[in-house]
Amino acid sequence: MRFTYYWPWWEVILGLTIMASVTVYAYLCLKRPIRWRFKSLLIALRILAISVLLFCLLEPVLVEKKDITPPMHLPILTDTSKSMDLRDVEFNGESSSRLTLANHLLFDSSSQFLSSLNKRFETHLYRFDEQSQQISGQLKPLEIRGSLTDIAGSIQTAIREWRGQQTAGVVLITDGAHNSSTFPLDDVVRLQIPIYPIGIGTPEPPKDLRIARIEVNPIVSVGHEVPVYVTIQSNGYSGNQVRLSLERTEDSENEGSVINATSVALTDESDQVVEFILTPESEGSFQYIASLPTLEGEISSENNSKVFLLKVVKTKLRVLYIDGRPRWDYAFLKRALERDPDIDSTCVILSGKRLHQLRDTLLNTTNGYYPQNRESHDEVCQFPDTRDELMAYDVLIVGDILSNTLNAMQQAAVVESVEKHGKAIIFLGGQNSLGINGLMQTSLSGLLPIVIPMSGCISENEDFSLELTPNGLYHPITRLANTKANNEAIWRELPPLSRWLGGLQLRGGATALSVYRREMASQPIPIIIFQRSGLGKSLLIAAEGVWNWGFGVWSFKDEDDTYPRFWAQAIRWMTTRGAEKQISVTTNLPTYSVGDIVEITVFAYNESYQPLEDATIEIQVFPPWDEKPFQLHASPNSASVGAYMTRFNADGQGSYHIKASGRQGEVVLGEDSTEIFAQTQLAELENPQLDESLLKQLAVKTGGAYITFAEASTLPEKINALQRPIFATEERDLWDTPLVLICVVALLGIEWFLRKRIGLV
Amino acid sequence: MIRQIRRWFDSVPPKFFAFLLLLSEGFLLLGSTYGVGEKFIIAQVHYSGGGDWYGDRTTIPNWLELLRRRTDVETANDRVIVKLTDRELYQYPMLYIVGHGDILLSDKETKALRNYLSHGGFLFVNDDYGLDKSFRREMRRVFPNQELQPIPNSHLIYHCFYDIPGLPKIHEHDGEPAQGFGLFHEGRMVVYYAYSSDIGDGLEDSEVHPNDTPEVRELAAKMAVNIAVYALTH
Repeated sequence: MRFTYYWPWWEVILGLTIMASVTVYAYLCLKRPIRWRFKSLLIALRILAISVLLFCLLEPVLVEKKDITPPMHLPILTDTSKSMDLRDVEFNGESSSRLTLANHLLFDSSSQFLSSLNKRFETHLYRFDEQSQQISGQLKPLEIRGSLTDIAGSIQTAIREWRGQQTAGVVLITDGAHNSSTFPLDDVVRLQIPIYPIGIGTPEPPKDLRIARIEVNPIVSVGHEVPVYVTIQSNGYSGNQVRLSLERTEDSENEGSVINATSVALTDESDQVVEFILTPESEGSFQYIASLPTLEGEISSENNSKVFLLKVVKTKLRVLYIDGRPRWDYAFLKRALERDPDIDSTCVILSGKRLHQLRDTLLNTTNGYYPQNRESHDEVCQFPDTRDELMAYDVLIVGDILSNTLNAMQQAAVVESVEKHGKAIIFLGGQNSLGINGLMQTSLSGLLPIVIPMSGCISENEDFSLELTPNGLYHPITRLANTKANNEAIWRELPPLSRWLGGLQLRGGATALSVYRREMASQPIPIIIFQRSGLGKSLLIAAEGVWNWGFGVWSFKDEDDTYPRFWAQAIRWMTTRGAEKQISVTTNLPTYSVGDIVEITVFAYNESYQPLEDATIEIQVFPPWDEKPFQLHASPNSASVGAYMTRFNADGQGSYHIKASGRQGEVVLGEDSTEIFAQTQLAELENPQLDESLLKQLAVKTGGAYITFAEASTLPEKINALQRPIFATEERDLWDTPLVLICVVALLGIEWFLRKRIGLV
Repeated sequence: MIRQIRRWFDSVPPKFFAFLLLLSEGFLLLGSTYGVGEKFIIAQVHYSGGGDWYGDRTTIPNWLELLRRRTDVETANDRVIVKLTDRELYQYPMLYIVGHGDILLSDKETKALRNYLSHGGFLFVNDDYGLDKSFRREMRRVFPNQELQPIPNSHLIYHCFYDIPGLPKIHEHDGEPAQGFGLFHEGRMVVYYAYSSDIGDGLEDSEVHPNDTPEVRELAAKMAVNIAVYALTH
């Protein structure tokens, strides 16, 4: 108990004493003789009544401590991904799917699983595949939904929802087939919540035959032999002979013609790689399918075929590379170009020294060009003087040259070929070319996607790694893997570059694909930058040491093709799109899994090929199941000027034709189209067996316990959650109760009655 | 007054001035990051076997100086020393081996050198007399299916910057003619071996080999420039 109205104790006693004294004095002064015992009773009653009133004036409250500890939360996550549909378990003597078992555990009246948990915990049911979702409303058996499983992400989401509240743990009902990315075990352990996995499924791999992957260069030349590597994996069919066929399909509905087929003797031990050689005869985009027959007893036949797309371009690409000095970036890029079967390259180095400084050297006789091969020593290849000669090349790579490396006529030819004839130019920057005596003093500066400051670029020797921008994550130049996570991982693991060139200002229509995020710097430094230049395209790498990706990488890897792949993609993409179009449509991936979100980006340009911010972009998508298209509206992307984005869900299998059209006010800008393919997601069937080792590891590291389906009823005993009690204090007014009033009235009433009886009233 | 200053100068040890000079050079280098370029550097290989891997101390600095002065190559000032098993090996696409005795490579070093050369590295080996036997033996372990090939005088390595008739003879050891050998991987020369020539000695400071005439030193200089330019352009 405590008093709300504070009086010092001596004031209370003083007040009480005065009141008591007055009462006693009043009764003592009575002239009428009353017995002392009776008088004392009256005095006591009056003092008691005054005391109660004084007590009420101090506003006493009663403080009560209450135990308000809520029951602990227990999220129960049930896997509803496709692998849970596999019928490799027995229930009631019959072959059942994994999800049937999970549903029995949760929803059957005969199962006491949920009710026994509810006695101790507040349970929350979730379903999960790629994402987790709480089940609300009426509880009914779960159905298969997802085509990928993200166990770690789902645990994190569920725990996040109950953050700040006491959670006894997380119960996982799953087969452990995590396949959305590498399992981030440490991240889950860091949550400090015990996990209790209940494993469902058979730990032995099921009988299956599948095409694991197809490796092929996605852009090839007409008439050029293309190797296609098909990797087959099988389990339980060792010794069987199967026929692997490769077909080209015109569309998903029509049967295509078999291009090649071979017989394969299956073996369980390792991957089997079969090589096919394709020789495309015409230009265009084509869809191919590699397929295997369905064998008896296979757990799934969906993974017996795989589709891939091939873009066939007319001829070998011709690349001209000029640099201003011998350097490792030159040597490694030259080798990569020479090794690419679809590229016909010419590489030259023109010395920045004056000819009189080169006397006694061979360069004095070759106009300053470094001889590149002995046979044609007398006719050293030189940079073309005229536009017509330059037009023979599809891509021009400009290395670390000085302002006087190319003469005015050569510079004009380069600008014309890019801006008016749609050729591509790649600047492999260097301290000379982006410095004060470099490109800024030439007409080529207008082709750069950046503006060089008057004092030249800032150049610093520093080992640094690149980070992809949101545009770079899905851009064909910088997309080195099919998923965002894998692409980011590849870029993160690349060896560092050795010099960055900064202080450059991006032009209005330029897009940074990758940046260097320097510590303490307010803005990231753009390194790989792209823009349209007239009808052509321009790409700048504002760094030196790109050769490290092709050489330094071997210090920690046994296998890597990032460097040649990066250049192959960059060169091909720079040349293959219709450069004259004012509307250009692209998607974040060429092939998708059914159910994936397709992100469409449309670039809109005006007549002088400057990006347009106020265009209206309409998109028509022709799905595989309907001839009638559905419409989408693309909105401007705030991160990139001239880019408009929208998305849709690829719900069904097959080819989707995407057509984009744009206008600015009443002016029609044009249209562009592209094609994507959605196929059944097969990741769930790649390792569909119960992954007990992962689940056990998860349980041990988080302090939980792994439980088999048969032992599921023992789960409540295994959850040893210690609950911290929570108390709340509650205050009740004592002075404001009827009892006090009754008490005072009663005391004064009795006193009055007694006084009346003896005639004092 | 002048006498006082002079006396002060006399009292200061010469090392102090050397320190000041180094300090100023350091500041000069720090301040001149712009315009130096991604510096070309040659790594000298520290191998086992008693062949005096550390020889030719002034060769690489002089070689880099030559390249800086005569060509467009942006270079560092000094050599670095690496072992074949060092992780840093892949920061240096060009290696230099010199010696006049036994070279011994462990299995790990043999594998590391094979990987290095197969993936884009270049090795120049300078026979300082007495290296030939062990070097050939070790190269047979590195590339068991390949032999060092004599490089004809028409090869581009002799004609990529200076027009040289062939590998010059810098030092006389046992009357053998100077001969260049190469080892190729996927069509690219990955090893250039200067046998019985001793380009390295010809690049050393003139005080190291005072009997070398300026003409002989110039021959060595031209050959060295050609080797580096060849590595950087092929």
